[in-house]
Amino acid sequence: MQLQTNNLSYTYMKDTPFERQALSGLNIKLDSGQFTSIIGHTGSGKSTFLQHINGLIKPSKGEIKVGDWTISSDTKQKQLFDLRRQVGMVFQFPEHQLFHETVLQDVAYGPINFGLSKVEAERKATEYLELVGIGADLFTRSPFELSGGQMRRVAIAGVLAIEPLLLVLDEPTVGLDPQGQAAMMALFSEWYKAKEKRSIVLVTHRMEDAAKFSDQVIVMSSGKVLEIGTPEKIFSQVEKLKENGLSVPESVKLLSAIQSKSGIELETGKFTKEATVESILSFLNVKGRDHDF
Amino acid sequence: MPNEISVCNLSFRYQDSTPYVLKDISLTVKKGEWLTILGPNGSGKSTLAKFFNALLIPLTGEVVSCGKNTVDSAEWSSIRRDVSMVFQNPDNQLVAPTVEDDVAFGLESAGIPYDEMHQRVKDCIQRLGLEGFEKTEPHNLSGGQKQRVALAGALALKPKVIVLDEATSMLDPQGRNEVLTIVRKLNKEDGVTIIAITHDVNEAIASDRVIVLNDGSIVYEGIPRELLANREILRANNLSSPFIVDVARELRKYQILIDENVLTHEELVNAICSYKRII
Amino acid sequence: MITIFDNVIIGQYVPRESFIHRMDPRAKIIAIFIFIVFLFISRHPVVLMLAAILTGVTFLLANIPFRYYIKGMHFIAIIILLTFLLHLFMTNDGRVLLDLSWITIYSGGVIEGSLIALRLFLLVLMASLLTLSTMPMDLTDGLERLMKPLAAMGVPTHELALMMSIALRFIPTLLEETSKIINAQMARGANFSKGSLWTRLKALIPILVPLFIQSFKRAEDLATAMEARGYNGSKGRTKFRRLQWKRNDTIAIGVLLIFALITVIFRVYT
Repeated sequence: MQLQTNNLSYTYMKDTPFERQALSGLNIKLDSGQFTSIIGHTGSGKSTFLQHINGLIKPSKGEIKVGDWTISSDTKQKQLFDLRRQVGMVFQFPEHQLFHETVLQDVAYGPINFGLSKVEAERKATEYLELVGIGADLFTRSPFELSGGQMRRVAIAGVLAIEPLLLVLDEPTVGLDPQGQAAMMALFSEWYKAKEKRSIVLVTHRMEDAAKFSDQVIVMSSGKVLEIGTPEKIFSQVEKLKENGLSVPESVKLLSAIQSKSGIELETGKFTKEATVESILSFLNVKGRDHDF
Repeated sequence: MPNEISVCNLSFRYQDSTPYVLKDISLTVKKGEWLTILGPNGSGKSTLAKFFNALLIPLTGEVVSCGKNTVDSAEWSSIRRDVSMVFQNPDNQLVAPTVEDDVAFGLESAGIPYDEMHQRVKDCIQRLGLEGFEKTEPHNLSGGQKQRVALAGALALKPKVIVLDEATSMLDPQGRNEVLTIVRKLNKEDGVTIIAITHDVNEAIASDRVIVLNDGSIVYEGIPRELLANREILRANNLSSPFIVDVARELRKYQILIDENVLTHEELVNAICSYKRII
Repeated sequence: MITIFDNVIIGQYVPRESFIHRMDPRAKIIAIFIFIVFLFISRHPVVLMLAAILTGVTFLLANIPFRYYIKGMHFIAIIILLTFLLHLFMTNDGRVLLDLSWITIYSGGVIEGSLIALRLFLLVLMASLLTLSTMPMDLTDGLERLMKPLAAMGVPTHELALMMSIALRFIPTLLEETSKIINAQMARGANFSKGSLWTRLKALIPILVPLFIQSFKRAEDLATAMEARGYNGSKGRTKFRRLQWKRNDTIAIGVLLIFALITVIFRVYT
């Protein structure tokens, strides 16, 4: 789904003494079928922007276009119901949304809300529970008996089961151990690649994830877009990111440190372990690939 | 150096019908030491933490904290003053509606006189860089700031030991740095003994000693450098090795001589650049 | 993240440097108590005028701009209006002002309605002034100390005050939490404004269950944290806050007592 904002602004607690401008004049255009990451330190307006995508928050000024929908300050909630079927939202600690008696019923909640029959909804629930790696033996268990990691997977299945075209992720891996984080990101990436039309918008503090998975990265700061570009472009600006309280992926940090210490240029826009090693090898004039015997 | 905490043959389960969460644990923590307890989720590390300050009392085995056996209920107040704790969820451990009231909470419980209490609250707030936030309500603070308030409240009691129970796992990188920087300062400058419980291998690098816990048993004990170079132990316990260690290992496959000890960015950069000069 | 509760600002503390802000919370609570009790003792116009002047002066002294009151007032304005209308229609005293086939309005109704509306208005203003000018923590503290004599009768004053203080600490957190859960369920297609009353009530389950579970978890964590921080009840506990009764507090109470005296005089002699 295509996503576009025109001068999008949002003010919290408008007309009260506690008024605060969260977004000011945002102009963003995201093409359909892309993986976009948004980075920025706490309070930069990332989460506020996310909630505009499916109309949970309506703009104070300006508008946001999502697919065929246009949301402005006077859009009615009723008009947004159909939009929500297209946009899946995974919030921070999504396991906090679980409520049903069984795992299966909880995942079927969304599909039923969007008009599927109970049988169909449970079929979808089964499908997506399997996708996230929850075995059939857990389907009839209470979600509250599961481990933290399993609960989160169930909650995510609950969002995927509405079969959205655009998946919005607000720091979906916070609080998981490193292995859990990696598995979760692999899951989203797999979902995204399975169908060409699917898009993802990810808010994250983990620069490694933003670099590794995205087609483009948006840097936000105090309610504005600071920069949009490919991960290679964004993460080449180590100093600029640092000024905004952001870091770069470990790989970039390492490669730029080698560059500045040796005074010899090398490719710093590498985000996987393999590519990093590759870049260091060519810096050392050691042949990489054919060495592997 | 004397032992600040010693745990001897501790086993524990929550109910008679459930499996053991801790199995025959013995360990000692030395005065002024920074010990990291690593382990995947569900390894029993947070349960273990609760024995250090008598939140849990051993039925099998023995825990002695700052010279006091935790079985003795008359010592609990004094043990909890000596062994402070910062928990995982920044939202669920601040009690009072403002920062200064919260920092004072433990002091009020301990019956510290008015003037001294105010002095200590002021000192700790300043120490943790929270000046200007004295009257702020906790929900208006960032995660890192909340954890600093919790640390200030712990520090105000002048503890000998601070236990961090996954205190950084819910924070963003900036918040994590804020907290770790301060913990380092408390350890090095004030000589406070630190026990940090975490699943993040990177946090172990700066500590003096590491214990790996898995399925309720201690499976490794040693210095961080040795653990991080030990790929088998890391893998067997679901711990990921740091990026730098991985890259160094890959490079060695191409006959590039890099010391086994390389752990940090700086060390790897130096190793690569000096290799470049040789060839 | 707070979106749904944007407008809940009734009584949020507004920091200012003022006579009223500096007053001892105990004095403020006692003063307001006297004001409210005696406001309803006499309905003489002179008394009401005095009360209005008193409110006005307090306002000026508190140095809180009027717009801080308006936003949260909609609901209360409706109550005041309803009370006015109720008295207007139900009173059968005095001259007939308007006689429609279905309703008759008497002059007594207008007077009675206006009097009660004015009193309610003054009451609400004064009460909100208390919370607008006093930090919640000070308010709790003031109440705890005023209740102290009750402790001898077995009333758990320390525990009540602690409960209030914990509630103050967690209300914003819970509101935020509720907002998050509502958002998450709405994103999954929850609809709270469709269907019969029963359907709508049932639609609340996906919000209430997670909220309860989270709250229990919080309570458990908090209890552990308090234990770890050495909490063991009021025994041997010292206080971080110390209230100080100053000359201005005595003056303020004096003024209110004079108001009370005048009220009684008008009540007895007119």
